[in-house]
Amino acid sequence: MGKSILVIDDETMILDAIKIIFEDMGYSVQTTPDPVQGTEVAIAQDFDLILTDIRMPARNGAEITEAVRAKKPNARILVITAYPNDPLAERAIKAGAVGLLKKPFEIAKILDFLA
Amino acid sequence: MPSIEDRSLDNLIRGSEELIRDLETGSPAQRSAAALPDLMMRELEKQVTVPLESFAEPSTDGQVEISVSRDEMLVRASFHPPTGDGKPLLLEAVQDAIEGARITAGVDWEAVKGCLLTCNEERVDVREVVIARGKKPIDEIPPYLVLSDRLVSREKKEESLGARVDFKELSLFTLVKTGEELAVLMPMQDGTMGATVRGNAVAFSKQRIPFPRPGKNTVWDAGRVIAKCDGRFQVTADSFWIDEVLDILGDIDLRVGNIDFPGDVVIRGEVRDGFAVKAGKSILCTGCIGAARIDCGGDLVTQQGIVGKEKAVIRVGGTAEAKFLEGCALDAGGPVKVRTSILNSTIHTKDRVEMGERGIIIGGIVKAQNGVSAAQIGTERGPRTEIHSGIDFKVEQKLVWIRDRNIALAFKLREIDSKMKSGAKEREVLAPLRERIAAAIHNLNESARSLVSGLDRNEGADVSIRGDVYPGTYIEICHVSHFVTRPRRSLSFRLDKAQGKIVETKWEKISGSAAAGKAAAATPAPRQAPG
Repeated sequence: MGKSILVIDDETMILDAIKIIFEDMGYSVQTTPDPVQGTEVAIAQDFDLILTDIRMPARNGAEITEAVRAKKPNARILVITAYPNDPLAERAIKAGAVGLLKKPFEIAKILDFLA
Repeated sequence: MPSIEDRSLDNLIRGSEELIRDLETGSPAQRSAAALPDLMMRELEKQVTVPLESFAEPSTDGQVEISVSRDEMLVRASFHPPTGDGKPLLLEAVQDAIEGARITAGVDWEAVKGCLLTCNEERVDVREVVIARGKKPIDEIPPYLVLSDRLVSREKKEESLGARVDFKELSLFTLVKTGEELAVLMPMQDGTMGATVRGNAVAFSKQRIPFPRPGKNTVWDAGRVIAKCDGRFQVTADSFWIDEVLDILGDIDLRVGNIDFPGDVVIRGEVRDGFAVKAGKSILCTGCIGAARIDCGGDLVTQQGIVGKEKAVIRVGGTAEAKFLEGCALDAGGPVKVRTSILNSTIHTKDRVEMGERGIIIGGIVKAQNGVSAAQIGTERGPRTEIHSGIDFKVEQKLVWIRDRNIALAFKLREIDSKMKSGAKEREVLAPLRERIAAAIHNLNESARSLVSGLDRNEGADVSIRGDVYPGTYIEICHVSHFVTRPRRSLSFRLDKAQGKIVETKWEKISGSAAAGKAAAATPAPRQAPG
């Protein structure tokens, strides 16, 4: 198996699409619509890249980034957002997210950060 | 027995007397050198007795040496003066030497006489003086065309302006009228044979002057080339021609309707809301462009601006020039040059966005592969302004297209998978379709991979702001994000690839990706942008 990706997004359709597309490209893709569970998985396991939506109930992407980076300072997290100027996106970048993905996602950026 | 002191005294007296005697009886030379020791005096005496004649130079007559170049086009001479009682160098002797060297033409006798005078009077060598030249042939120049001053001076003017944009010019268009003189034929210049100093003939050659040939929509007219129609003058090193121009003397509105023309289009008015102009080549519009659709293969020059009302869609193959852009979506293959402002617009360019001296960008999204230069980005009120650079937007658009189709296919695949679980029949029917969809996704993914690997990134792209950049501005260079969180002034944002961060450097008055690289090199320690 190739590099591993974790995707946290409450939109299950997008989760499915990312899983199908990136598994076809040879990546190992794990998905969860639950941000709390996603945070735990991100901390418990090692991933080459973590994609997380920014606006989710229960826990937002900035909080996930802060929680994961607090435990794993080298974790590479890309935040999925509708607007790059979303204050939460800004907060996630400050917390150590490596970049932003515009919704639904950007193939070039994901491949760039996996390279 | 005399004492030691006495002997010593005797010796002293005797020696002194000898010295005095020597002085009294010796030669004047010896006398003048009285204080010198004996041995030295004897040596001096020998030298004095050497006869003066032994130092005298031998007597030789004046001489001349002549050399002829290999191509017989140049003769040099060296004049040597007489020595001793030798005879001076005479003109006859030089004439004999010249004849002896079989030189029959091109001798500069004035030069020869001058050299003789110097040589004989001043008794100095006069060396390597050119005294004869062959006659060079004059090349034959076949007829050639010279472009008219008006057209040529325009080219020079553009060169002198360099990268600066003079927005008052119809900078990308040179319009000509039917019958206007484009070029004049210069007549053939005959060649003339040359001759060597020995009288041998030297053939002339042909000197071809390169010039562009008359092309489309030009016609010969008594030794000159004129325009066959009204249009846009175009010239390359090889050819010049006239592109037919659709010249619309007024607005694009209900009276005129939409335009679709294969060549250049000149609109001497405005393009009204809801209309479309499509040109195979360039478009020049003297007025404003409204919420219209513009598509041109070449450049777009609007002497005013675009008031798009969030509906204008502009596609430009080359350069886009405007005074201002407002509420429009513009894609350009070349640079986007805007004099005053870009407001709430989506601008994509494969080159650079260059704003005028006070040009501001407020709101909207700018994606410029080679970077952005502006006087101000954002305002104190903090409207969202996104600046992306370093990435080829066309590749990105293709990837978005692939992603959207992939998502649609993935949804279908999930649906089929769900259906196939309900029974054997469904599995049998849907299995081939499932395979086809999976194959389609795979093919799209392969295309995406190939596009990403060939993505023409410019890691030297910069975002340079002469004046202020305000919070609310988001900058992304080669996918690396940066938020401006406090007002900043006069700086450039660049990618520090090693750190994977955007850093800021002091603003410099340069533009372009190459210049950006230069600036980065000249700035020793960029620091991470504080945001």
